[in-house]
Amino acid sequence: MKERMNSRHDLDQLLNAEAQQGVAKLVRDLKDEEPDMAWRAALSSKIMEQSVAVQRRRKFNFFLKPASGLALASCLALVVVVSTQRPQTVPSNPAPAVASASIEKLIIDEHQNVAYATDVSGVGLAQPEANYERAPRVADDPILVDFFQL
Amino acid sequence: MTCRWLPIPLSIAIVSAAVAQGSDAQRAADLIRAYINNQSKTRFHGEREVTFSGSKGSQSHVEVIRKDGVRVRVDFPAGSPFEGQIIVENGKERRHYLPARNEIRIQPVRSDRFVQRLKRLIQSSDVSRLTVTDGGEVAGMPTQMVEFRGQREPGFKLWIEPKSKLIVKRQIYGPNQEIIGGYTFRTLNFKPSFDGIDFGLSVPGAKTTRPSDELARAASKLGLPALQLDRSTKFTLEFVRTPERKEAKVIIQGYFRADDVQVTLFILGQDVNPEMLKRFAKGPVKTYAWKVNGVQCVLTGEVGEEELQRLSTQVKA
Amino acid sequence: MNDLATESALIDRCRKQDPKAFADFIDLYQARVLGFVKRMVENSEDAADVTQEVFIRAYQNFHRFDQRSSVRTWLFRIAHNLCIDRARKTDRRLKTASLSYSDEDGDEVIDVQDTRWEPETMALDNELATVIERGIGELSEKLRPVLLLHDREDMAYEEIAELLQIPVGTVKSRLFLARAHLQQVLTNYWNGDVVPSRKGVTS
Repeated sequence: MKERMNSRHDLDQLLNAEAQQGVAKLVRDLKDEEPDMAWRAALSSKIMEQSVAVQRRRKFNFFLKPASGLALASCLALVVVVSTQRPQTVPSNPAPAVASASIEKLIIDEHQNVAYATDVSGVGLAQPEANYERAPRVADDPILVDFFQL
Repeated sequence: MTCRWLPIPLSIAIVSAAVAQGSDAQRAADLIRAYINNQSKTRFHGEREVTFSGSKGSQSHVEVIRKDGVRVRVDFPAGSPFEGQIIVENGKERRHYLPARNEIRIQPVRSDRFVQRLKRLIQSSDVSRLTVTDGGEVAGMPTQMVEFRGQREPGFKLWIEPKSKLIVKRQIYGPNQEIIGGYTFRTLNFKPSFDGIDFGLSVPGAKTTRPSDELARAASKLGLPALQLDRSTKFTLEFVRTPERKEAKVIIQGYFRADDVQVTLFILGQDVNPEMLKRFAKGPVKTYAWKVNGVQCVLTGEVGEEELQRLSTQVKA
Repeated sequence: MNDLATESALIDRCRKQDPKAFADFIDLYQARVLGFVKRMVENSEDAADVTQEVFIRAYQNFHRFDQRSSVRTWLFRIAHNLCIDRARKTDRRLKTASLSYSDEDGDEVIDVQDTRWEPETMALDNELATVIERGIGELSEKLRPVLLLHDREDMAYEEIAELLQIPVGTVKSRLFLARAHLQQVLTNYWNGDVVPSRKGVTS
């Protein structure tokens, strides 16, 4: 049987049909694989390279922009003045304040820390135990563990 | 003619490489299997350096291990920040003595947790991801280094001493290939004398506490309900922790089942966004968030979301 | 903690090309982008390369991200464009039609085959997942991203239309056709017929 559909309304109806929704659900349920560690390491390394390039470009732009509307001599002079008088404004190593990570991310991290904790030491002290038993400020309360800092 | 015959050596090379890789993985699996099978029989006395690595750098300490089959005792040398503490496991329970509090914490055993993980690994298709190479000397003994580079779970490197089948060094990696930590034995004696060594750990006058006591203490301190996973689920509460963060009032409970399935229960003094949780959850880790009388709860674990949802109905005061 | 505020703060830091924030951003999206790219380029090695390129491009250009679209739309637009580039480079031929339709003006004319089947009886086991993945692989470069963005990424029609620069009506018709093809593939599978080889569906 063939049907001919030629309006948006009909198309919406078609898309909401049981068979179409059934396919959609099966597609939605397909699993995605997490990239492997080597892939992530390679990407991190490339991003770090890019980060260095960004810092270099920022430095370059800092010097280039003030010079753009002036003659070469004025430009050089300006660069000298800027670079000698206001060196502290050059973002040579910008380290933006690390915003506190979301509680959701920390929950996932902590779950994984639990899994790794015993993988590392087995029968011995797990990392959180080592952390709080070492720290005098929480010695009076052994359940206080600064796990988010691990 | 040359081109015509070229595929033959090429095919042989490819097949040989595949066979070599397969036998390599097999050899690694055999080493792990030998370690697992020998676990309950190994006897030794040794000293190892344990290192934990985190975002704030690494910290190390030394542990003195005495192992007599399934019985294990861990002491800490003089000068260690943990001097005086003692940990024993007897295959049924773990006891951890804290001298400053004169307290013995009783918890489920941990020593075979990693063994369970290895068992699962060599029974799975991931076994093909194992490799083995010469590991050099550790504690004066030659070793074979088995490496697992996980796709769905963190990887590790194990240095196995072939005669004793003992893991004399190991490094554990996190999901982003970072080193989480590991240990290295400095000395090992496979003919130890355990005369006079107490594997039972009974300290006169010391009070004993269990994780449920710690939960009650945490709940009282933070003003949160002492919700926990019902025992009928077969999950055992192993530890309770509370973080020191002004913005996050939370009790964390670690649960394990006999088949080594782990779930973590979070009782929070603030709301969380379930969608954000799902987005941060990596690989097989699933999450389920719900509220009990207005209190935010979250379950995380490497089980299906439906299973977490089912478990959530078993979280009770 | 407010979800939107958290994400907004993360994006602000990414726009300043803060590598730490960008690492969190990668954590959030890597599996989904890789999943999308894998289904777009077929070869898994290519997919890994392209996905890295997606994040590198995103990092390089984050300071230009003007937030007129959502960050997800922006990121998947990069991913889609790179997948198309890669397909062009590998000279992937456009596929022949097995369903007829016209979608260029949004005034769809669609011939629908009546394929009787019962999706509720299908659980997504490994074999079925393989069949679906193959079915997705058979879709044309026009149908496939629409299906993936809508049914996997849960994007709205309008968001997909903006991302792919096509009318909303076209998004709907492509989605319909993509699903219809999968429906056909599944019906064949369900009836025990051989799963179709890569003869393909195209626009």
